[in-house]
Amino acid sequence: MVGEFLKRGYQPAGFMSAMDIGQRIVDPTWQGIDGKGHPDLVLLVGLPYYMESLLLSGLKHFAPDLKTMTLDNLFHPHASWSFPNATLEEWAANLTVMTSKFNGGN
Amino acid sequence: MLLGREDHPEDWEVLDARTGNKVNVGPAPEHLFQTVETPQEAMVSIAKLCIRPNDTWKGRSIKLSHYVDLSKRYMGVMPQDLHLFVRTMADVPMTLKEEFAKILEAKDWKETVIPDPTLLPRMVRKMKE
Repeated sequence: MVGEFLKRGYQPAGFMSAMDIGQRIVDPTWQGIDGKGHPDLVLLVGLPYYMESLLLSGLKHFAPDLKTMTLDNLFHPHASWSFPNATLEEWAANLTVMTSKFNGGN
Repeated sequence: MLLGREDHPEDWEVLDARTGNKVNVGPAPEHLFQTVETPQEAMVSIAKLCIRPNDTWKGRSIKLSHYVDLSKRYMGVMPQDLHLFVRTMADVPMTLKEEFAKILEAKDWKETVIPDPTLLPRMVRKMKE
């Protein structure tokens, strides 16, 4: 996955396994990958549905102050915010609308 | 999941049965039971999770060369945590000495010992004075 980002010219700030991240986020003393403080928002996209659902369930129960957001085309009831179930075309259109509001629009 | 924390060095301390000293053996293995997203990530994780505290320098060298090779092949990057698994320069695979030297210098790596690890004080053959 990281290799794919690198091939497309992106430089990740850091990378680790999703389960590792889930474990660290529920630890209130963890200061983030960059050491600048505990995250207060977690964005999840592109994980297998069942894995993402379990991660979100763990975060909901053991990190109740954390906000979680998913950008997948399937609804995640454990997330604070989630897209509804949608076709791939609708999902792509929604993501395009979102990213057009960011600087660069790419 | 039975996940370990490589950022908690106090979790990875064992006794050296030869000397009775406490030694940090690094996250070996980092997890006992883990889930990953893709078969490619599984390949890399398998190599990393084979590393254990009582590896000889030859065994550790082979395991690290597998880990690096699979990580470059499937993830496209060098592993970020190699400095945690190198105890002495003998652990470094011969063909990767130069790459490892750069990584170890960048991470302020310090050489440690290759212990005979145990968690049981009764297994220590020589008690500290």
